Amino acid sequence: MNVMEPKAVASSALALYGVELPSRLLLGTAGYPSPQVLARAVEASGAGIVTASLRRERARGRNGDRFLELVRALGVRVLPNTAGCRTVKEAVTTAQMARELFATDWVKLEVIANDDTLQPEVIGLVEAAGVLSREGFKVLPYTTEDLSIAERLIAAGCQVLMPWGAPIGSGRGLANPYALKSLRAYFPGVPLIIDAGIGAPSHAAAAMEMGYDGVLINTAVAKAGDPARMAEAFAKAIAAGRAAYEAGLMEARDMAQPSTPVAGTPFFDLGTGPEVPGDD
Amino acid sequence: MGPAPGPRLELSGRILFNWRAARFAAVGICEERSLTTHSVDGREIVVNGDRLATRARTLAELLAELGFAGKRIATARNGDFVAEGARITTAIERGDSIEIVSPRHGG
Repeated sequence: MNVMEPKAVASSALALYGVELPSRLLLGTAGYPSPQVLARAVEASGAGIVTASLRRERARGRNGDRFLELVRALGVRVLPNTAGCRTVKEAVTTAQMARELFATDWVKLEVIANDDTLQPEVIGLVEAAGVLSREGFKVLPYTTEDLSIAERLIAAGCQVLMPWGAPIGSGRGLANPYALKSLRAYFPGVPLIIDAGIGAPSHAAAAMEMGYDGVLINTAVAKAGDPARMAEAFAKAIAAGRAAYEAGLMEARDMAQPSTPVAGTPFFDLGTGPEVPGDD
Repeated sequence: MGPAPGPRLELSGRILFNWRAARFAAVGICEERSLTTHSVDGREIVVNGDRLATRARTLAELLAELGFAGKRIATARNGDFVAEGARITTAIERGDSIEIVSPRHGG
């Protein structure tokens, strides 16, 4: 097999639906020990997008107002999700409610199939993506690495895809790197963001080295001993992985190849080596 | 997500509403306008998964009755989104299921 020469890629910022973003890290806002810790983590991450969701409100609750104020103060774009939705109708209605509440037509579309894996219900996902795209939503679908579903999501109007790395909250990293590489190769012009399953900065760096355009992280930061420090670690890993991709990574080889030039080295032509017993 | 089954609700209605009234009193929501009278009679509906009785004719009236007036919320009736501007013309009918949601953190 021929070994491909590394190719450099022009450096660029992440742009989604025509909006240029300051970072390739997208940060979830759930599960932090306190709103203050969340705020520090968002700042440390440098994220330009944070995710949010909807809850059933009680008559006297003020949580919703407080959360919105917190996010506004951080000056980041909010990406509402449709977490917990199991049907097309639930997801569409939730997206519509989120659009009104968060005053954005961006939505992280989730249609969930299974409680144990929180696997995307991809058939419903495609249908909901079509409905919402026709209503003017900018849909960022949480999907699997399946190529044919990816094609259908794009046909439905999605200009960004968010395949899972591994099940939500599992922290297992990139469970199927071969399929993720295929997806990247198959859709070179579509922004692809790894959403879910990232547990360590090294996982995020690996995704970026593959040429993924961004990574969405929540649990790995929120549940860290020091979420702000972990957010910073992820930011560095994602920046490093992206820089490596842009610089052009070498291909792995099966055999060693000397890095120091061979020609002209002392004793180069003598062909001496360790004596092997019986080798006369 | 159709209306709750009628006959069964009829049978259990009084006990259910008395329980609701007691619960409202216990958590001090009685001071909210007219909820106590509504727990005695009115149309049975479901709000955020909880059954209650209301005399509200529209979604806007229901929200006022429940203390949501002026709050940052979004609504759905029987699974369909109801935009803020449409709440005043959206009728509340017996058996309706209403969702009232607000922003929160998420992944």
